[in-house]
Amino acid sequence: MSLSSVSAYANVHTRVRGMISNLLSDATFVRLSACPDLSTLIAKLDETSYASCLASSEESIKSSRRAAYEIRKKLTRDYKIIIQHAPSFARPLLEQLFKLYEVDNLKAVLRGIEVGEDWEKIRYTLFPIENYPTLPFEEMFQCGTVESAIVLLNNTEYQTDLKLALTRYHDEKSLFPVEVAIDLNYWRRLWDQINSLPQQDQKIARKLIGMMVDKNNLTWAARYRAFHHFSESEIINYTLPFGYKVDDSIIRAIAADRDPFQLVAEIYPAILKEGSLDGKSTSKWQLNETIFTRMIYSTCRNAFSDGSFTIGLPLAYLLVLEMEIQDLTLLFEAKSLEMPVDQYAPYLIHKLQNLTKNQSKDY
Amino acid sequence: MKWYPERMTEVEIEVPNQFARKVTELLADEGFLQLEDISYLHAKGSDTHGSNWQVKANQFANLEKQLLETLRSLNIDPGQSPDGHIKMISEPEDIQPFVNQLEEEIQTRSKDLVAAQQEINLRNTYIRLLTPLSDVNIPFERIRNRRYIYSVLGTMPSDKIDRFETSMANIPFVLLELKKEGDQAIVLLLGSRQNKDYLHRAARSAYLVGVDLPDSYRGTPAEIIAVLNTEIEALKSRMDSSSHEIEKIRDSRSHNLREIYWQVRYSRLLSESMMRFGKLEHSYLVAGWLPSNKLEKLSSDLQAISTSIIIDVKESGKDSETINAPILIETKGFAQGFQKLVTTYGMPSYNELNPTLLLLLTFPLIFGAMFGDVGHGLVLTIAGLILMLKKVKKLESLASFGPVVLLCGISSIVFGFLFGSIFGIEDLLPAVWMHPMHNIMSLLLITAGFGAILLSLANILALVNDFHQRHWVHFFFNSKGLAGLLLYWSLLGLILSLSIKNFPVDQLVFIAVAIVSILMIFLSGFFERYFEKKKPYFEGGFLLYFIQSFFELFETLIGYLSNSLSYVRIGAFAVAHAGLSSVFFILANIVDPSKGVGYWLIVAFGNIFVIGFEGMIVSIQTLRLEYYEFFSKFFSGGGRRYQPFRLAKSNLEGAK
Repeated sequence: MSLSSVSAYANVHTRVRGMISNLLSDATFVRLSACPDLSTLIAKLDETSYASCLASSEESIKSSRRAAYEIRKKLTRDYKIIIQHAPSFARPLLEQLFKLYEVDNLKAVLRGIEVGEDWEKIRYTLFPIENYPTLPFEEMFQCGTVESAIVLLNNTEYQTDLKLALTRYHDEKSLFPVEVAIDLNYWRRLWDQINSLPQQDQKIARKLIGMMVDKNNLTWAARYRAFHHFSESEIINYTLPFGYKVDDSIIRAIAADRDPFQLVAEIYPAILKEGSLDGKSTSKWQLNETIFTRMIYSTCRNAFSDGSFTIGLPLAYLLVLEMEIQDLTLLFEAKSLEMPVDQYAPYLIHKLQNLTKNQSKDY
Repeated sequence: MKWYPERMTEVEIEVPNQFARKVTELLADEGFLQLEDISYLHAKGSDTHGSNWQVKANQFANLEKQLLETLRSLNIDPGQSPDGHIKMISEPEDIQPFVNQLEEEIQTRSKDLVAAQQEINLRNTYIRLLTPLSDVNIPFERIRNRRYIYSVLGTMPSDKIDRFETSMANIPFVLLELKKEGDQAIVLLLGSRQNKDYLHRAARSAYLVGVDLPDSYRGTPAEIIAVLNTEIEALKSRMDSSSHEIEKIRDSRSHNLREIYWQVRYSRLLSESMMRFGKLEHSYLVAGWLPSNKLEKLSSDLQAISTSIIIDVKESGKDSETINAPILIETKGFAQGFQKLVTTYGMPSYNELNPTLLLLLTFPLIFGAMFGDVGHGLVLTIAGLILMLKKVKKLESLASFGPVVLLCGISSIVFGFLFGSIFGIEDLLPAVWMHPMHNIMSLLLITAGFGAILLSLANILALVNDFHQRHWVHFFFNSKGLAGLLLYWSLLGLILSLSIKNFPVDQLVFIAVAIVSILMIFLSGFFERYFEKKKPYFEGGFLLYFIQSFFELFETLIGYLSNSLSYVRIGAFAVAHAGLSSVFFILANIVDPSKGVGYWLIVAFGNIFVIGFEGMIVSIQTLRLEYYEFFSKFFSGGGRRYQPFRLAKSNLEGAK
């Protein structure tokens, strides 16, 4: 551990350690899951570190969509603090990582335009970027067509990707090539940022972000094979040539119809601790994703106890927070639909093994 | 320049329907009635009045937009509105067909131009793709339509080439990178026709955009390029001919179009104004304000249109009912810049004293005292003259501030002689009065005294305002009224009697006056509610009233103390001005003790710095003293600016 890395990361690590203490414990998740309905869940969440996000809403929160929108603000605010206190050489990577939400918003807006959705419905499905500079989503939406909305993105980093994809959009009348182009280029830019980090940071960032890329590549490849019936060549072109452990041989194997879960278990034996599934069953894709995400979650949690002064801790925290919010969003939806716990628990990243009927009643 | 805003008169004009348009045109031409919106007044059966004019205004607005677009596409500047009277168009429908026809004529040609340009662009794309193959001496149709070979000529992102090649590991293919253009590459993909579908999908997934060159283009790439170039030339001449036709339209129609444009614009603005009229069964109601001295002219002009037009006049008084009267302040010449400084603080309300004249006297005085130097004052005087004479085009917009700078400069010169200072040199001129650096305490005391005089004046002006507005409780009991003034003077008197031996008035007198005025201020809230007959007289109970009044009184006393001390900064800045100048002489001496070029360069730089930087600080301080210490005592602002309905030449152009 060099003295320079200690001085560079001391500030941001102190802050992140404070933030980690605000993460929801497994026991809290169990209690939240035991809430009978959405309003009780929100009231319970109001006693946690999400209180400030929920309080910032001017109207009362009545829908799961709106609740999810409000709690995502915590992620934006924590990103802002971490970026502000991170060493200058690490900021571009963190900023690029945060752009993932801008990319998600961009895709959501384009989809909204495509199906002629109402802005008021769309706006709360978007990630709250808050005061960060971002794309003119509302103006794009008001344009009414995908083509004219994309014109507003001239002089942004998305211009070239979208210009190319637009030709295919015209021919195929589908947003698929547009969304793929946006995704591939986003992750490529993120990977370029990792390559410009100091050696020690690169190592941990490749691992944490690389696992996210692996998850994407596996999910995409499996879906392209199962739902789109793409050829091997197409699947390779629509996936990323980098990641942590997944390489083209795995993608080719998926394209050749091999069980993705078995393939993953060969390179990530740790995944077997999180669950075991038949990956070829198309109905189980989402469960496969959840199991993989649980493995990333455990890896990030382990990074919290790593004492080295690298970008690992802030990255791990941000990824864990995102997963926490993902789980809360799922809980919001489950509670608003009055789903029984056994139906949604398998899709949660946090395990609710300790939840028993008795505890439910006690609550 | 007057002490109070112009007297205004409120009028209500009843205009029979048939004269409505004529009257509106008259009002627009004369331009001195500020219209009030009374469209909410309408008699039964005339409900649609507002929406009728709204519809017309919208139609005219659309026409105006259409005409402006037409003018733009013909590259015609609408220019200035014609001199003389513009006539209102009765119905938008009268002119709509003409505008539509013209628009269509131009659009047809413009579309032709755009289409030709697109055709040219497409051909240029073909040429761009074929150029790297121009040396290949084989007919192009033989490359692309082979029985066993499938080919795609197109562009793809350079960074996707590697991935594409990886993806094709199990399929035979050739990818020729013909040329690189930025982040794109022109490529030719060749493979077995047997794998056509696979190749096609793989190419598409790598974002390879193939170009479909129509089958009609035959021959070698070089021959096709030559054909494409010939076609481009033909398209260009087609464009030239369309442009020529558009030019012909422009030459023949430009005058007429401009004229119609201004007519439509004028009609739209008139329609919008008429939307604000009230409506009776057979007549319109027009309400508004005008300067009282214009009333006679308006009446006679309206009577000249028809004797059936009725004018109901409501003379503005000094009561609160006229509080809504718009404010007209006519300031000309020297005072304009000072007036702007006043309106930056606030527009005087109707029965409120306009402090511009006071600002004209006190602003240069305070500035000069803080910036007393003959040389520096001279520079400011010249700068003021340059601004006033509008000799520098870029500074023309600041011309009204020329007199402010000029008077400040002259005042600085006067104080420069009084302080014996020229360009920071303190020993060249004899001080007519005193050198600030040698008489610091005296100067500070004098400026504190000057502050006391100005604050007293401000209080007296507050009394004048209260008297004028008949606010008697304020006049007698308010902390800015008589009670406040007496309290301030008694405190000043007490300080003087304690500091001067054998002061002619006994201290007990001042103490007694102070106690009485404190009681008056203390009870001002009570009296206000008592005279307005609002119960309870002690709002919120006596205890709350007592606590509130106590703290208000405390704030008043602190306020008087801090406001008086604030004026000490005049003396402090006079000293600082001399001190800062002397610093540059010391620096110059250190740099060049022989008093050569270096010495004078430092002195020159120092003077520029003092004039620029310190001049700016002194201006801000002067403004601060005026706004917060002086104005805040008697001037509340809050008036609304007089904005008459006017469609004279400049307004018509300005309201674009």
